[in-house]
Amino acid sequence: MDTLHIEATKFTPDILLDPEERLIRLVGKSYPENTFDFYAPVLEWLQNYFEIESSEDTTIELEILYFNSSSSKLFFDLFDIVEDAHNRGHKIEVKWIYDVENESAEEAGEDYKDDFEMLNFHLVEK
Amino acid sequence: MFETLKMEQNSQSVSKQNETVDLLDIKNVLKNSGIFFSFNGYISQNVLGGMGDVIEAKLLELNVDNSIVNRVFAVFTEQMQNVMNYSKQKSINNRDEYESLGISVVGFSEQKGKYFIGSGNFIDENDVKSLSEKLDKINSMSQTDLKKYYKAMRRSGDEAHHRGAGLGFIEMAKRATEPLLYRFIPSDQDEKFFQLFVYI
Repeated sequence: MDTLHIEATKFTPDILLDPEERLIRLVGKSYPENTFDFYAPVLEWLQNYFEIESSEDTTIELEILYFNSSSSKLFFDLFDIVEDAHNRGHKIEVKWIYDVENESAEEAGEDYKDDFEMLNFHLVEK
Repeated sequence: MFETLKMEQNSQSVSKQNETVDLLDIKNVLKNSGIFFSFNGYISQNVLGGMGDVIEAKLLELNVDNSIVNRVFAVFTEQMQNVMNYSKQKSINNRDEYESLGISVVGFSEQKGKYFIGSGNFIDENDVKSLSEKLDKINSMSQTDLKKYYKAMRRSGDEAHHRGAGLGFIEMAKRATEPLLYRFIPSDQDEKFFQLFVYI
């Protein structure tokens, strides 16, 4: 599988999907105009990755400083894919990274952790 | 001397006739309402980005607490992306961007001691009923209920469509300290002006 790297813009995070390092990393803000279209290749990549690649350790890091409500739904759908893979035997660690002063990022992480209690989901203070 | 005076008077009356509005009046109305940011016109994603920067910078300059700045920014973004998605006056410009006619204000209410974010756009008469039901439902909820409702709607995707998750109003209500203040103002037979104020 190929690495997919999408550089950050004003409205979207830096996205790194690296099958060799087994690392999935999103860093930045997320409030694009057309969230679902923008992230479609990312979700597709993830689905393929968990289908093709072995079930060894995969790390997922999300450090999202701000996201709009449609991105909130999108990340939910992303975790849904990840949880499915987990249920099929993939070893996955999710790190939700937030700044201690960013209350809403912390709260959002807690909410996702609640929603996906099957996942190995860690809140990591920066 | 007399000639000059006469000419000045003439040019003044000519310019008065050509102008349709007194901008200073508009400026004073905004100022007297505590509004320090306003925009009326076509809103695209890039316009939204620029406006967000200006609002954030202004609030930081006023030494507003970070958490309030973040909440104002979040509500502003949801409002503008709603306008972009739902305004009746929507088009695609020559740069292939969506742009919608809308109005946005941000200000501080001395009376309430709170910041507010307001938006306005024209909507279809047919959407008034479902929109007011949605907003009333959200306004009847406590913060705890709102959080549960948000998570339930996010999970189900019931309100989702191709351009959004349908979570914007709940997101705004979660950030607000008062119920969402909304009004439908009659304008045309088949459309209404929808205005929404959120207090932080």
